[in-house]
Amino acid sequence: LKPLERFIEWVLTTGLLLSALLLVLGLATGSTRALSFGIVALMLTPVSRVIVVTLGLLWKRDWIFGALSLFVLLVLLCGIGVAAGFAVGHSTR
Amino acid sequence: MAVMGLVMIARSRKRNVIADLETDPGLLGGTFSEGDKTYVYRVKRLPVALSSSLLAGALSGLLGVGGGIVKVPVLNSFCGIPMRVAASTSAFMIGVTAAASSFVYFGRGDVILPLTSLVALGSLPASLVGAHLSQRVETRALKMAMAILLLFVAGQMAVRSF
Repeated sequence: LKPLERFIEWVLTTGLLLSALLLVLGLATGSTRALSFGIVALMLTPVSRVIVVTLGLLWKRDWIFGALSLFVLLVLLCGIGVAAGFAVGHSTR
Repeated sequence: MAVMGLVMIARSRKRNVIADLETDPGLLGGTFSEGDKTYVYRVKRLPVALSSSLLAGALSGLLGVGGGIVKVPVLNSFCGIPMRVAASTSAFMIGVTAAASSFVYFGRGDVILPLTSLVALGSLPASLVGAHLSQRVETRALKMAMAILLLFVAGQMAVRSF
């Protein structure tokens, strides 16, 4: 494996393990907060992978795939932005 | 879906690999290792791959079936991508595309936390086992398993529609 691929593997494995740990903790203690953090960690794992891929490709001056990866990242950030809007709407009701 | 299953059975002995490592894989192709051997593959018919992704997204939203069930057979049968590479590429894509909408569902409060946690915890070890197993199982067996899955899902959807 190349260094970038190895780092992506590490990011994905760490995200999954952290998420699994929080979910197990949440289910064992009945903590809704731990379950929420576990789910958020699970959802953020692919986002962090896209961030790593984007930075890696731009670092390698692979402009075409770097730009495509940046577009995917922007779509994901839009999803997070919409979700944050809903969350703020719920809390102010 | 049933047609794709039959196409996969018919093509189960054909492989999308080039043994000559000097072959240029092109912009989207690459190399991959299987055991102690390394192969080259070239991506063909890119518009078909793009169309299948569009169809996969639409079917996923409309019928609730995973996009991989469309992408993997199309990438393997029509776009010259080896089975293992098609499966891993599909898994890599689904994670990202699903993440975009999952944030919206989560922010809207549509996610049932205990149920989602149980399903996620159940699927995590199984997906790791599947990824390890796919490296050990023969390519033809993987194709046949995919074909059987396609035929099963197609049959199930047909039965439910009546």
